[in-house]
Amino acid sequence: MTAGHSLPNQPVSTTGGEDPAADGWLVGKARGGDVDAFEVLVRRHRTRVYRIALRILGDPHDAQDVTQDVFIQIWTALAGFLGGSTFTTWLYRVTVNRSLNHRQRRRVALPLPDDDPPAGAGPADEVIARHRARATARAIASLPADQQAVFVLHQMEGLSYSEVAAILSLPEPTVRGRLARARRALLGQLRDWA
Amino acid sequence: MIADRLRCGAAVDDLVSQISDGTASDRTPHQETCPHCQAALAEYVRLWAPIDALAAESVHPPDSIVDEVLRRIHGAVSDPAYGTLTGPRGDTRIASRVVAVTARVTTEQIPGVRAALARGRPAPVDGGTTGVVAGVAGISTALQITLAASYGEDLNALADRIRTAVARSVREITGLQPAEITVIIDEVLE
Repeated sequence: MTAGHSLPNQPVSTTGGEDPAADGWLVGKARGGDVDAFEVLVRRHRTRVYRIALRILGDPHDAQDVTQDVFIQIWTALAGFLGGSTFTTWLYRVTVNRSLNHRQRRRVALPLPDDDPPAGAGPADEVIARHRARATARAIASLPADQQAVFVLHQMEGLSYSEVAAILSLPEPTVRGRLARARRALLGQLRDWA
Repeated sequence: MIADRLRCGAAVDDLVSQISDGTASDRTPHQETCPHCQAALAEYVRLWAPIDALAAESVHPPDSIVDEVLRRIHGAVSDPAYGTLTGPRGDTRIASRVVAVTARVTTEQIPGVRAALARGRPAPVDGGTTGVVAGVAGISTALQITLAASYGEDLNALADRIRTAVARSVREITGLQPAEITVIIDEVLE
């Protein structure tokens, strides 16, 4: 989550267009009670927060609820954010924790997809592709919690091992181990469906 | 279950990492000649395709998330200030918040701007009303834009570019007239 520079004075991030310095400025304003500054932070980061929640929970409505709760929690806790980590590290940590807590409370076993694609409009290839996408999302959502967080942050969001380790407060070798187990578990499921 | 190793002794985890990191075509000298590895790589590429497709899928959060968050924080979306465009078939009311968002998004797109905040403020028109104001001779709004700029920018020139761009976008998008645009450069960031 460090910003590089390809042109003078223009931030270029290695992680999806983030700008930690600008985030820091906005956080400073928001800590002083500036709702406008917080709104800009929400707009900057809502897509990724929502996407992480969606991949962990596998349900758009739950992801929306969690995204809203995450930003409310961030707002109420801003005064305690001392800047020891970047804003996004903190934000993604809260997102993962709230998503996993929500998943645990829900306690609903996510069913694996049927073998046959559902009936629907459109060419057969599209129906199969949609079915496969849903099935894949459910497979990710049904991973054990420790593997799932690592998999979503690294494999789906493209964060580096060190970034994932910082977000989850884990040693990097642990991140790599959990990721390997998650990949093999998913590959096994995908092979069973094939 | 997937075995730990192929018959040639290659570790399955290494091959799976190779596939999931998108480097399946970067084969080792062993893989170049090993039929077990070649078959496994081809199979894993095929199986892994739905994961890559899902990761590349575009995800759009509902627009209502921002409004809901702000409503729960402060009721900030209940901004009472509106501009009014009067037409032959009825009035169009535009909240000052819409003008502020238009100005902020425009400002953020200008090179040299790292982050921006914008809000409607009392307009310099008769009547002493606040926000986006409709006057007899037309409509007007005054804007205050607070921003963080990149270090090294010519800040006066940057402010002029912002005023020009914001005035144009507010006019084009909302139909309201920006009577005054105050630019506050609050910070420079490296």
